[in-house]
Amino acid sequence: MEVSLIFKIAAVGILVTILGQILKHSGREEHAFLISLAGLILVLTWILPYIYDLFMMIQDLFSM
Amino acid sequence: MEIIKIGILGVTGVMLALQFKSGRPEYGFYLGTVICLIIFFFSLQGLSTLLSRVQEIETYLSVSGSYLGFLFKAVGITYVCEFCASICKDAGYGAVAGQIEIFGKLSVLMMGIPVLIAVVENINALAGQVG
Repeated sequence: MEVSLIFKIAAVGILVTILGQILKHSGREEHAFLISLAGLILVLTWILPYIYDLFMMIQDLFSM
Repeated sequence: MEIIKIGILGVTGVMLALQFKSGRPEYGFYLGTVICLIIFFFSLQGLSTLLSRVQEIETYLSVSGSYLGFLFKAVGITYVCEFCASICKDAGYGAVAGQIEIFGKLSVLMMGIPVLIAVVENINALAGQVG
């Protein structure tokens, strides 16, 4: 659980925004959508294991 | 100290997340969720030491050992439900957050029912002896 995760997600967000704008203004709307979808899935794959760890930790910490 | 580190981490993360308010709000939301997770992991160490201390105290209170387990479970349930509800509120979905909170309250209530019954039985037994 390093703090670098925050900066990784921020970097992906900025990249997706820029690429999306470029693609949008060069007339390729669907590519812009695909880029944002890819960014979404990438960030989710990073976040989901940590959320899973959180809930497992709470379960055994509070003996639920 | 620890709290300063947490404060700085939270504020910088939120400032970073604000950059996405205009273009891509969902990334701001992901950043918010990740910051919540990181801060929770930091507070976990303190929490586990606290719980082990309370377990030590539990050995002295031989009678209410099982009820302490209920107490921990209630704290766990409320924490999870509050965490998810506030995340949903951040995303702007207050209705979903309300449903999660209602479910959390109900589950804690359902969990507390046996304790209540035990108390009432004790009172009944006492009343029986007196009456």
